[in-house]
Amino acid sequence: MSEPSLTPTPAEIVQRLTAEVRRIEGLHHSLSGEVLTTGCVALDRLLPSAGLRRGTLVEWLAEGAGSGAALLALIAAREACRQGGMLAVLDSQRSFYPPAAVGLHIDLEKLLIVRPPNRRDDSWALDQLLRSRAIAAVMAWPGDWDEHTFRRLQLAVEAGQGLGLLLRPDSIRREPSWAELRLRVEPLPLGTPPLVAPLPTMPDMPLKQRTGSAPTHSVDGEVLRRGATVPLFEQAVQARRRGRRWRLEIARIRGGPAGGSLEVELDEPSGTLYETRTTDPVHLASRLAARAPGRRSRGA
Amino acid sequence: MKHGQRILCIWLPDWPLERLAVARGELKGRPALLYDVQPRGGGLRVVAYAPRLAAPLAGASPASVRRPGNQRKTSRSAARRTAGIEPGLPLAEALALHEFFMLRSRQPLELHLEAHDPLADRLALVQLADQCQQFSPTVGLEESPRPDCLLLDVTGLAALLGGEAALAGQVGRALAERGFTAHLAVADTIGAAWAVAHYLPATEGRVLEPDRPVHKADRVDKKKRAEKKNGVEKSHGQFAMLLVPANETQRALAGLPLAALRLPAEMLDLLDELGIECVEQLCRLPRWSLHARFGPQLVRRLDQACGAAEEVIDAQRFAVELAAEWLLEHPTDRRETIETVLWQLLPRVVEPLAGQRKGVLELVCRLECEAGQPWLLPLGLFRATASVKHLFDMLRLRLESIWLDSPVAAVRVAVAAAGWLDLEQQQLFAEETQHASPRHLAGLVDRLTSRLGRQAVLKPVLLADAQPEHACQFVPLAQAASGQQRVKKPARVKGQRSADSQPGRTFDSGERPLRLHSPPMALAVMSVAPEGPPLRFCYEGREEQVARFWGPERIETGWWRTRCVRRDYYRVETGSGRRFWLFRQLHDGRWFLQGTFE
Repeated sequence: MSEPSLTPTPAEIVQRLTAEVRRIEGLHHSLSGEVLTTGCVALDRLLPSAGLRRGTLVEWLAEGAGSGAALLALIAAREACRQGGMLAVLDSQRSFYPPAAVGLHIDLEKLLIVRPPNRRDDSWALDQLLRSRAIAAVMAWPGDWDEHTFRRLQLAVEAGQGLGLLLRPDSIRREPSWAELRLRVEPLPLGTPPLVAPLPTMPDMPLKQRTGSAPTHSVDGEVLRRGATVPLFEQAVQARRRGRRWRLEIARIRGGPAGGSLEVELDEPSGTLYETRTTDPVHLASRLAARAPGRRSRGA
Repeated sequence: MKHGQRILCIWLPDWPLERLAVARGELKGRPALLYDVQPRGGGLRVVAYAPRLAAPLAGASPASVRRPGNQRKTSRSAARRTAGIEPGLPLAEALALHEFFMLRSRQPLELHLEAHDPLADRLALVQLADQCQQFSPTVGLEESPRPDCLLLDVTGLAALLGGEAALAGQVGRALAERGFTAHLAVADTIGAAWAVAHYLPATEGRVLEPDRPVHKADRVDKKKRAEKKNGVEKSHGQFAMLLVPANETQRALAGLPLAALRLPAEMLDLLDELGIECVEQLCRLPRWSLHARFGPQLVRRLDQACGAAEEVIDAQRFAVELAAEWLLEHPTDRRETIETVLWQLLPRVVEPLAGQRKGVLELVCRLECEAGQPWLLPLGLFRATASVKHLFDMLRLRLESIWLDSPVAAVRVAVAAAGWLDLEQQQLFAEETQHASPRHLAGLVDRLTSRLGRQAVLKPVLLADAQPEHACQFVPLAQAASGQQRVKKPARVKGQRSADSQPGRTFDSGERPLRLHSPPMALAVMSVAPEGPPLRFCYEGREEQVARFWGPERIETGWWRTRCVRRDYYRVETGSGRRFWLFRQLHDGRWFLQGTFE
């Protein structure tokens, strides 16, 4: 009978150190919280707790308008509301557009929109929303608030056991955070556009007439870009592709290593997120190049 | 019929429009049109129209307004004043007529177009009935799906107020001062009073009341002229009235058309085909024959009007006002003192309600200041509550939002609306982290509403409108819950399904932006062809190159508002993967940013 080894394995060492880091960061009180999915299995796998914990703040950092970070936050909020509770949006800019939320299969009966009349009430309203047991997730665009305010918000979300999703500019990524997770969102172009050199004489025409393709692949009534040449069928299909891509990077996470990243894509018709299976020829070439020495070495 | 019974009927012929004008003062003087959606594909039809809201028509007496059952017999002058827009006309035709009418007008005004809201009309009429309780203890609404009549039992009350004419005049003046046009009639039965109120000019001159016939419309006009001369012009309504002497009911009804008997339209058409036009002709026919040929309804209505059959007023039951007041011996501006007073006052108004299993839905706190205007702190709650502490917390939040510039001399709290309490069974093993509890939600909404106001806590409702700015409406959650404000009925427009079957069109996740600019933001855009897609645009001082686009999605709508909207929308993706929603305005080719896909 062999005696148990006294030397800890590498896995045990990592586990012990992770627990130590969590203890130092004061996470012991929230470890028992329920874990919610982000809406993307690949992103869940990247997070140490395999998802987002209830009772925590999550920051989504993106630069400029039209980045799509709020859409990703909204998907996470949708998942948080699946077991009950309402989704609250603190809409200080008065421009949140609910039809977009309906596209993500969010029930408007469970959507609460708060528009404080002045900026002074923003943090108070957010505190109330985070503290309430009736709210499962809160989306907000916080202003330039001080650390005390964010600490107060952290305590509020712990009391309410909801999920606080804060959309912030990328410029604050070096600043300290009271959030459990800080994600950087970088939008990516969907793919190579199928447009080629314009031919001004080409009139607008429905796609099925121009390609002569089977009706199942046609787009009735849709008109291709004026001046485009007749695209190949594959190009036409590519043109009709409806999705959106991002690169997500973990800028900061409590109790885990930062720096992990992945590319995700949204399938717009179904509103689901999945990891991108890249077919970009440049990526493929680089992957093949990376594997080549191995094959050569085996062959040698 | 009760012996000696006297009924006062108040008919408000322009009720939906005048109710709107009173509720929304900013609409006064503008043309307004109410429409509704007809069932089974009947389209949009006019319910009411006024070339100028709440403005008395020049030379028009109240008697010239439309009456039920004889819309076909509209006089030429009345048709000229309303541009020929009558109830039941298709909306498209009405709008075309209105445009034509405005073209001839020296001061064309923007038409206010709104879906008719019968529930709001009914609630407002109930409120008016409440106010009429000062004239009679028995006040009710007429039996109709869309009532516009009030019925008052004034038996034995005339002597207290100087006669029936004085009583009716007092009621008419009170309504006119509120801005309502009214026809009043006093008769022995509900049916007769209703008939005479609706057909005043037909009876005028035939039945003379012993108390001197009075037509107050002229008097009101004189008063208005005098006010105008003095530079004071108020928005008054007009009223006319007629008294049918006791036991003169049959004679008063004799010359009236059959529509005065409150008969359905099909029966009126049938009687018209048979050549029976007035009540007198009907009375000459044998009763058994009427019953056999037309059913019991005709005979019942005739008997009710003549007093041979019983009919009672369905009296409204009004809650006794619940209010409590505290006069401070020494006026103070200390909040602690005011809070202590509130803590003492609230149980006085809450406990009587709690005994009836009711709670407070709306509360008004009034702080009488030593100098200046009093402070009014209205409180609207998401759910009825009988918790003094909850109400106290809400009022304290409201108190924090005001600055008392003068000491408070008196504090008054009054319940403006009450509702049934929702009873919840306590859970023995309640889950601590349970979400979606109505109690928690009510508490949150009340707190937010108390500090931020009703318009800050909203619920979105999709509408069947193709124009993005109008495709979503935000309703205050506190009002939506208590049912005090109904959501505007969406219009049915070309190319879209009925609003009843589908409240709003839904889109895929990427088809509509998460942030909408309303109004849209003008952009400098370059496109390769005059009607082509965008290639480059300038946004926030930076030039963005369009790498990909989806569209155009053409939206043509809104012709019934001010101007037809014709736009080609493009979803564009820049080289950096950011997405925007742009459109080209087709009538001038200008580009706008409508939203960003955040």
